Amino acid sequence: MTIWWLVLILAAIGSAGIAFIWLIVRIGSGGTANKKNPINSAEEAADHDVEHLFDATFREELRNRGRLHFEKIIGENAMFLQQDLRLTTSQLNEYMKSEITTKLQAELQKYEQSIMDAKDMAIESIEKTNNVIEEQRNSLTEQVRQEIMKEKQELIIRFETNMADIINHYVLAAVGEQIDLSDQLEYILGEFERNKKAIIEDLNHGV
Amino acid sequence: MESNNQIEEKKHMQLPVNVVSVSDVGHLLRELESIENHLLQLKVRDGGTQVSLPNINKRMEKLLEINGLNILQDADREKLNKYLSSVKADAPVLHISFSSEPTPSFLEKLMVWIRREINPDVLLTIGLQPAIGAGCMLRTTNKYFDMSLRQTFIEKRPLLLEQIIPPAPQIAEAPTQ
Repeated sequence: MTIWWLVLILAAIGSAGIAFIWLIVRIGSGGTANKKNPINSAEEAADHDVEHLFDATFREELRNRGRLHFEKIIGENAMFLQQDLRLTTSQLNEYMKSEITTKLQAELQKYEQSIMDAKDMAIESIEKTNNVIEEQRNSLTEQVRQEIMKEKQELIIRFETNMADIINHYVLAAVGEQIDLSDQLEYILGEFERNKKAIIEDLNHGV
Repeated sequence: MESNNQIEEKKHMQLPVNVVSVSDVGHLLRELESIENHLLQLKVRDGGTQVSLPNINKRMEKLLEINGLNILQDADREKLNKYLSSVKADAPVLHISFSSEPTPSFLEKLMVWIRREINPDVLLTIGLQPAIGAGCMLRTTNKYFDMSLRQTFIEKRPLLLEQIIPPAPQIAEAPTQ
């Protein structure tokens, strides 16, 4: 059943093709015989009126039109070019602006970074210096304290060693002018009394 | 025998407190010699001439007074001469230095004590040492006695130290039950 349907369709397509080819052949052979005359007459008429149609005025008119058209095209192109140029300029400006901004920001960032690094280094250096100064100050303070303690000890030892001389000197400087020999008689006699035995012995046994 | 007599005389005679130094004894000897010469001149003088008595120093007056001697008596003068000569030759001499020149009253009081307590014929040589301040320095024949305030301070150094350095506080022990 299917095969039969296929054969029938193929036969229909074949017949339609044969009819189409015949129609084309038929139309082609009948058209060329009828159109040969009008074409020839038009060419002849054109040749006949060519001088009359394209005279100097017409050519001048065409030249003017062409010039105007050319100027119009030139103007339009110039306008387009100007627009493009403006656009390009603005884009270039934007580009330059963005590039410069980017570069500037990058440089500023580098500069800021270098400043921050320098600041950190300076702070670190100052901290180190402060630490060193603090250590030196502590060391110096300790040295001064030790020196003061040493001097104090020396003063105390010297004072204890020469205390009698110091106090004697102080007493003499303070009240030496007010000490009269008459006031010292009791003290002197007391000292004589204390050494009486030794004095008598020395006088008795002395040479 | 003669020296025994001199010792005996010395025991009975004594120097006044205003005769302090060897030079004072020398002055007395010279004065006694002057009186002796003066009296000798009076003996050989012509009759009827005016007599002027020799001037006698206060020291000599005091010496004659405390020893009960009469200067016009030859024996007393001889006795005094021997006594002064022996004192000048043999009396113990103490060298005492003070910070300033002692007054006569001070010396008198000092001499009274020294002659009463140490030796009745002792003589003094007074010196000056301003550095002493207070007290005195005594030098005998063989010894040196520092009786100055400085020496007192040295001897009382522990007391000074005790006053200067307070003693460490004692830690109170916990009460035991």
